[in-house]
Amino acid sequence: MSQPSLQQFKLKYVEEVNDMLNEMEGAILTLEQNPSSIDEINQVFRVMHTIKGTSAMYDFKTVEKITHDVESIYSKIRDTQGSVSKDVSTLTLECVDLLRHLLNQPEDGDDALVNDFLARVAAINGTDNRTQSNNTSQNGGDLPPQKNICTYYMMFAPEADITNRGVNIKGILNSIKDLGENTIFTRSWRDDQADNGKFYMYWEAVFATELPFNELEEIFLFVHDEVKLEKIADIDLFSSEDFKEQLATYQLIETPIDTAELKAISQLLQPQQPESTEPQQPQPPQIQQPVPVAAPNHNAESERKIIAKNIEASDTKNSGIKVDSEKLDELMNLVSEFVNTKAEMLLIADKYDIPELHDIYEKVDKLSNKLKDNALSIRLVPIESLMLRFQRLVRDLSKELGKQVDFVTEGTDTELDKTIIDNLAVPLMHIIRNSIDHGIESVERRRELKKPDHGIIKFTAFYSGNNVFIQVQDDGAGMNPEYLRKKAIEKNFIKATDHPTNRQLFDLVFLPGFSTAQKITGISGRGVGMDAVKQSIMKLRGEIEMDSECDLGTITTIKLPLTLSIVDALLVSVAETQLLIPVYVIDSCIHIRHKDVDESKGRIIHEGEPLPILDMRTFFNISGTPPEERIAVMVKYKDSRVGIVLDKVHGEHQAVLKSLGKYFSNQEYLSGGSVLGDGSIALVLDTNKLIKYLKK
Amino acid sequence: MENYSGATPYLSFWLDDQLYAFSINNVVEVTERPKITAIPQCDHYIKGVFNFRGEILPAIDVMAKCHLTRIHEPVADEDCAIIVLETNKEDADLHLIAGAIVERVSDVISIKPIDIIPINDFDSHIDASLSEGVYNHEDKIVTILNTQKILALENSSQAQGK
Repeated sequence: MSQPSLQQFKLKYVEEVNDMLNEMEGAILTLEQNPSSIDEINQVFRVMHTIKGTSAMYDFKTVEKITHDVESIYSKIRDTQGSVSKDVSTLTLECVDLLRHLLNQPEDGDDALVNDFLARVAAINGTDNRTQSNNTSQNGGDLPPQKNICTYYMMFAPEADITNRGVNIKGILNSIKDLGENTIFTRSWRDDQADNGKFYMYWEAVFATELPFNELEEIFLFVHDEVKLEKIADIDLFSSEDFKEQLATYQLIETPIDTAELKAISQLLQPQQPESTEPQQPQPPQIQQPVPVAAPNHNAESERKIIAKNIEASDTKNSGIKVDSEKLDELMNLVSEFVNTKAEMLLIADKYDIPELHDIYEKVDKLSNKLKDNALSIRLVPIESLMLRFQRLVRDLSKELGKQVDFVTEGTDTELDKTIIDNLAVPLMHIIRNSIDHGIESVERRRELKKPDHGIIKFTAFYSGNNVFIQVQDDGAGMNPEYLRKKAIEKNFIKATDHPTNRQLFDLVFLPGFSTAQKITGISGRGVGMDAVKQSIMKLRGEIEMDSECDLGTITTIKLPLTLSIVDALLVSVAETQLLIPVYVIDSCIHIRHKDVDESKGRIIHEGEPLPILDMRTFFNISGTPPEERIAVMVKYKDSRVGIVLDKVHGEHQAVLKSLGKYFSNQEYLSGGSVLGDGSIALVLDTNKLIKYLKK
Repeated sequence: MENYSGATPYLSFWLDDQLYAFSINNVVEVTERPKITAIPQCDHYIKGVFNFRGEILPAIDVMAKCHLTRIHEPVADEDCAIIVLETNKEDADLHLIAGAIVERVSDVISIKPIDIIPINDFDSHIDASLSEGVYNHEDKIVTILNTQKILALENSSQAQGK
């Protein structure tokens, strides 16, 4: 492998910053609902601060400047325990967009955009300054709030290639200088092992800051491996002249500072606080604990709580890692191969009758099942991950259209396969967009109808059997079936003599070229939308349906399979062909005699009712003599049942579904194949398509 | 295998007592005695599917794909081999991977482009568009097959497919 290039490190930086921006966007949206929520204010502050630090390291001056200015706004809000005004939250959202934009094209081409933004930030910063100075004058002679300052030691020994990675050493050192009182030592050492005795630079720093340890670590995120960070004391040692003198002596020596020595010194110094009149003597250990230095102070107290909460929050965030989805696919492949190999092992154990091997097989079997379940669960992602985008969409669009819309979510912890989630974003955006644009009425119209000013868009997700249902509901204008009918006749979708049901009329919305929008806006109404939505949902093996009541609202329901890659199925066979029928479509299985099938002409009498049947032998054109006893698997089809006649049922099977690929894309009645334990392949029947295919 | 000026390696194999070859650049692996599962109602040149490292791949009957008529008794399925071929790996839309059923894999031979003799429909037993030409290898005729064409989808509905 070649050395990681500058490009790769920049990519990592962009990715991390994007993640942080997403996190922040969520916080801002919460702040709009609850403008003084201290957790979110802190979060925005923390994100801005971290991005500022890392951007300085990579020399992204524009990003650094923007984040710095926005950070100041929030730091003031935090310090004055104020709230976030609508202007500030809008500005912060713009900041998120601007940063995303800048990250995509790091060349500083949009100076006008940036300057405009900075000017507005400066305006807000200015007004806030005034209010703050008022505050201070009111508070008069109060002491500045006591902070919980600790003293840290840091060693930064960069690899020789650090500049190749685009890290700005000066930026790192400057970020230490920003933290608080500090002393930085610049040192070098000679590598005698190397041929030409190269010299290397390294830096040591002792500094005092109020930031907690984990936030310091975040500052050095991108040089994490090359930085050693250690806490020296829980107090600000720089307030002691003795300590400063001691630090000065380290300037003279050329070897790294011994932190143990530094800690020992700091312990000697600790008792020498101004209040302490005691002569110097060994102190009982508890005094070394962080003691609130001044008298109990309101600010310091709440500050500490915030920090504690911050630590909690960042802990939960760090519990996940990002994995390339290709790696997950590879894992799934390996697991299914492992399951197949396991079956071979059983064959050998049986063949040579080795009891010990059987025991091991059972263990392997258990493990492999767990492994399989685990690997599958990794692919599941909560639908929550999409919500942020939708909240933002609702906010921006309703503002643009001058409507008032509340976005309510329920069941967002429902998990779906990553592939499904990824492919759901666009169609769902479209549906929500439609709801805001055409569904929710203007405030005036809503008042006329005696509806509350705020329209509601409700997003619900829930499990039902092997499916996940997603519903988007609005309390807007709804669709008028009469209007749909007129439109459909006009556009030749139906004849004037047709009298379709409301349900059939609503289904027309999904046809290509059928738009009901009275006017085409930039947002929706071009008549390609719902057709495309339906296509993408169908690609995910899902179904979509709309229901509406005039003036009461519209509800769109999407039904999706839990995962695309696994199906609980019944393994059956007809002649030599092994087939899998998904369990959720099966109603029951019945034994029938072949003679009855043969003479049935496509219909048998079962439990006194005529039942349509389909002999797979005929369908597949299989020659040869069928067994006398056969099985009919009853599958549900719309409101009726159809019996699929087969030779034999083998049992249930958890099938890892594989695509059959391009060569079989015209085989509509097959939804894929699955490799069985013995390495042979069973074909998965798509009974809905099979029955539809036959009816044609 | 020598690799002298401009020569590229080909994998040769037997089919109905004739020698054929694929460019080795397209060969992923040779699988001996695979278990082929028939798929009802599929295109005439596909014998079925087989399990290749956990993936399901179609097995192409090269004889049928080239519209060749058998002269000799066919070798039993169990004794066949499958050459797994892949083309256009970089382009997901054009990417194809499938197995070609052959009777017996022979050698890898190095062939210089200049030594490949083009053929036309009149002097060959095979449709000229499916072949890159023939090569005289130790007094035996080797028909070099065009991997692209052998793997190509035939059904019209598939050709339109995405």
